[in-house]
Amino acid sequence: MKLYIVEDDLTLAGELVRLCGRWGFEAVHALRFREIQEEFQEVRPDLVLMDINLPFYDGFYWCEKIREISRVPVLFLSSRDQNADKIMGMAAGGDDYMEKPFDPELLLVKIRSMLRRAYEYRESQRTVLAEQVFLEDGVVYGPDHKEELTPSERKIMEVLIRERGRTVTREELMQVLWNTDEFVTDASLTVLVSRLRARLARVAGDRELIGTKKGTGYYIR
Amino acid sequence: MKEYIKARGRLPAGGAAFLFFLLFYFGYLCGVPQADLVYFEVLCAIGAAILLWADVRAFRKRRKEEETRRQQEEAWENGLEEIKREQREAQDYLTRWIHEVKVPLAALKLQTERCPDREMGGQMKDSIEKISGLLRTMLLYSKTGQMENDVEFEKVFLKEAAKEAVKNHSWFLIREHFQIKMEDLGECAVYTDRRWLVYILDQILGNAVKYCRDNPEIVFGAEQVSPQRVRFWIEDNGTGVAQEELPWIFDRGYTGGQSREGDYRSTGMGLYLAARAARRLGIRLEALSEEGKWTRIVLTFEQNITEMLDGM
Repeated sequence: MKLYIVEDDLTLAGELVRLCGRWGFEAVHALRFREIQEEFQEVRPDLVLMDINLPFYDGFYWCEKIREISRVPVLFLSSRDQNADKIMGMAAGGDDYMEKPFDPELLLVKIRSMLRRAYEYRESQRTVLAEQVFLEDGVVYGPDHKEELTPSERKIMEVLIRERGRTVTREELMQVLWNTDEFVTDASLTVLVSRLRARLARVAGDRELIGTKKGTGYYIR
Repeated sequence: MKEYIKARGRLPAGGAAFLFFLLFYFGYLCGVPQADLVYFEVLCAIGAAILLWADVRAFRKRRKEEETRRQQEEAWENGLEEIKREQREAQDYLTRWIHEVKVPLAALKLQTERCPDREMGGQMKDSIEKISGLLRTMLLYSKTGQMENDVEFEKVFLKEAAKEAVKNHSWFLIREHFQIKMEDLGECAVYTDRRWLVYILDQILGNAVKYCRDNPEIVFGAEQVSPQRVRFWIEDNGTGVAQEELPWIFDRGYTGGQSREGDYRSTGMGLYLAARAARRLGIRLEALSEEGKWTRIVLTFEQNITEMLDGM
């Protein structure tokens, strides 16, 4: 999946490209702010992140120009929070809107849902957790058993897997869950993780897939 | 002179002519000798001329006074317009400035996420969240002066507003191990401006974080007291406010007798701004507290809700 990022602050643009890279997307940021429509045609992205405050013409203008030739999903990024901007964004043909500074997790969620809607795109990556154990589409498959994960459990696994190689702090996990309106406490997080572990144990047997670093957080082996 | 004639016009001329005629006729009827009559008429004419001259002078003087007063008022109006225009310009600049700052801040936030030293990244994120919060406060504050231009009323579910405010403070609430309870909000909805309501809640939550104790908790609750009235409250189990100080907490600059280490927003403006916004939205704000135990802020919405919501 290729993303085209139209943001005139090159520092921020660079960060966004890096971030999308970490999420497994290919990303390229705009350079010719007088010829966005041409550049868009050259890049041929699957999704566009469009800032509103741009030099020469604003994001709404470019969105309309892009709409003339494509139905690619467009996500507006802006530091303005007026309802009027959101409405103008939709009117210009945009699909969604995010305010800066934004939460990266939330951005990912929005990008994914937009891609899914547009391309029936599914993150059906199979992640191998252990021998004969893998996670795909929110379901953990084992040698002779499978378990469907709850949305919260899915989120936790997603983060642990993405950050494989390091320990994810409890606060990070809680933040991720809070972003989905699940205002978990320390205690409820512990309960969630132990339930998740129990589920994984049913599938994977005795192998401990999620490790604990005392006082810090969890990691995936 | 022309103005005088226009203003006074017929009265002096007509009146004088009429009087002359009357006297002449009367004199004629009474048989007064013509010469005497004419002599008398001339005297009257002179008298009338003097009166006329005096009237013109008075008229001129009045006109001049009116002119001066009008010029003064105009100068005043212009001065006022000038001040308003400058204020609008300042506000516009402030708004633009804040939006400008948000860009490098967004870049910074992303950079801290990929900081290899997670602890340092976390500390940096802490500062960034504080700056974000301050910008959010400032942005809406700069608009309270002209809220009328910026307010959009719509149906708002209290639970949604509460969630948004909680997420705005998630970094601090998680760090301080807060427990959040929202069950009692149900499907309560009010008719108000969503962003301003969240802004008010932001200020209240900011205070709850600042003055929390062990095992901190925030409870949201709401009830439809009558078809016209909804009560929405936010209660925390923090240090509370002394009874004597309670009436003052919504005042500008009030920071209370308790100051804390590592203060989080201690400008004393939080609740003041919340109260100002609430007033303009027609929301009543009250505070209840038991010192050392809890604080509860109550928002009361008085509106013909069902009527308004049905119409949406």
